[in-house]
Amino acid sequence: MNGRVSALQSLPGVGLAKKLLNRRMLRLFFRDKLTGLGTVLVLVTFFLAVAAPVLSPFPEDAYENVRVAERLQSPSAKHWFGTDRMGRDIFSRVLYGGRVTLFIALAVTLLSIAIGVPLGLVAGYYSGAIHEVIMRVADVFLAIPRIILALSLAAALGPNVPNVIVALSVSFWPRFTRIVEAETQSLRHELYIEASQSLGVSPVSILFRHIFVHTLPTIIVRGTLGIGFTILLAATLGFIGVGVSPPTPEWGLMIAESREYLPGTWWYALFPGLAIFLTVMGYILMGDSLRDAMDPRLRGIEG
Amino acid sequence: MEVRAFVFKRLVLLFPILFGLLLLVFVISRVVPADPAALLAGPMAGREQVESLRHQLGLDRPLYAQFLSYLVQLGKGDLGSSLYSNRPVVEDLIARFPATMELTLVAMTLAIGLGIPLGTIAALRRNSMIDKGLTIFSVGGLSIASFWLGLMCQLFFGMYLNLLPIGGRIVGAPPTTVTGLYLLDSLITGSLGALWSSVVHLLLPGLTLSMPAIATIMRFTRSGVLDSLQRDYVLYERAMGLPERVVVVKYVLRNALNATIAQIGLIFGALLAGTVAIETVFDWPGLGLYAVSSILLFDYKAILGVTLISGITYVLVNLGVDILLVLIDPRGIRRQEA
Repeated sequence: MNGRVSALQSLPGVGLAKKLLNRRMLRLFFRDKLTGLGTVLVLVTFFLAVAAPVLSPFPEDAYENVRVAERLQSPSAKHWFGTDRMGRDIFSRVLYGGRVTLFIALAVTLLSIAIGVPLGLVAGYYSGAIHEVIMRVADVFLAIPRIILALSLAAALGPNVPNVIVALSVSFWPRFTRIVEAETQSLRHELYIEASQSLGVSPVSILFRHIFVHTLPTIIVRGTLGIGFTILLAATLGFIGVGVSPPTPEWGLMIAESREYLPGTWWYALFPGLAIFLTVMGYILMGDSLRDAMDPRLRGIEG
Repeated sequence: MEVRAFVFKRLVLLFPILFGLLLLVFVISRVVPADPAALLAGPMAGREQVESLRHQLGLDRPLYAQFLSYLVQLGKGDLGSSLYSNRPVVEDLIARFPATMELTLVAMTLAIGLGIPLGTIAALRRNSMIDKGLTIFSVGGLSIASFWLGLMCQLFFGMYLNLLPIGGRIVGAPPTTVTGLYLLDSLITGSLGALWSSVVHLLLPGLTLSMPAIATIMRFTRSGVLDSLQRDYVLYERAMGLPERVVVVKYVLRNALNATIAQIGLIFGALLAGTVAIETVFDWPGLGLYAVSSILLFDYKAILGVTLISGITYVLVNLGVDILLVLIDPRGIRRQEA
């Protein structure tokens, strides 16, 4: 256990995590095996995506490439996951697909946090018109199921990576606004906030230095889970045909392409789907563990 | 009295949301695209056609005027005509709505019917192997892409084992239309053949669609039951010697399910949206398949119609759930206001 933690400390970004999670939280975080599995999945999929150009046996297959002689081959020592309709190596494309997918999911989550959190802070801190306007606008965006809103936006914008990011963020930011607003409202009348107000601390400073810090655990938990769900949505958009366009190696798109070759070529659909499954599972397990570690209200119950 | 005021307030709040919904769909169709006329005319249209359509639809007029005439059109129940079939979009939507509703309702029933018992068992056997297994199952259910699960089930049960149909709603003549829901219609008209065929066709799409919902309900039920089990009244009831079964079913579950029930509106929305991918996989002739085939044809008005109708359905279902919760337990008013 200690070995695992100290091995992690050498990684970048862990310094920040250490500030957020004190030692007791870390112990709780790594307590059970599922947490370990989640962390391993997140780190491994991230590493595979970053190192895809080095690890892929056929990096030239990631985008456009045709090898007619090797079309639709079943998995072999040369092509671990088989080949697709163009004769491209599916293993290489699944690795590159991780790059595309993780880039989209991280960008969407960060963008949604950047838009949603400040709005939530402001809406929760002030009452009256500004609160009403922000929250009613958020309600409208929440009134359309996320995938449908993303779908009609992506269809209006056209299929490429930046547009998918916009479409998925537009449907995601209100969720952060809503939870941050609720937390801010409950913190607003705390004694230390009222004390700061009476000392003449500026609202900006109160919001970001005092209230924002307290909403961070929630944002991190929701953000981690959100990365997982965004990967699923991005893959669904790709599958439907409004996500990124070919020849971009995207998991949902690869599964869509495989459909006309079923039932003969099971490997074509199987491996991209497994990649989605394992990656998403990593973020969901990690989000759950972060919540258990950070939220003391759940600690006694869930363990 | 408090209840009536709450219901009234929620109904009044419905109007700004619906108005916002219309505005949002308007913005997506007219402001987001670089050239809405080109988008609405479809990819085959020449420049002259685009220009004449621009004038015909009034897209050269100022935006507020466009919005007003769009509202007037909607007020008449007109969503425009499909570019390809030339049929009014509203007719298409009405024809396809029951198929999606049936699939969504079946998935909802499965999710509640499986999720609540499984979540309760996990909580009662906390930290046992059963609990661990169910936790893995629920995390798996949330992590799996439902369209991929559908495809794999299709491949295995449909193509390899030849046990279940791989697509469609029914084989043979559909039952006489009463509600448009084949299960209900075949029960009403008493045609057992149609009933069996509908059930068999619903099995795979229903189960794959409900997978994430089963997982969500399991998670909420588990933590709700765990929370209730620690309350003093449970200690008291146990001390009084009430049988464990009575304590759980009669007292714990009743309190534990509040959080689960509050989620049902949200889950319904997720299921409704999930039909887009599932209907594509299983060739299910509902709104989702309609939206997807419209996207492939760049039939933009149809997509907007689906967006609008799902938004409205979702808002109304959530309103219904909120009101229902308050009617069941008026203390919920304060919870919802907070």
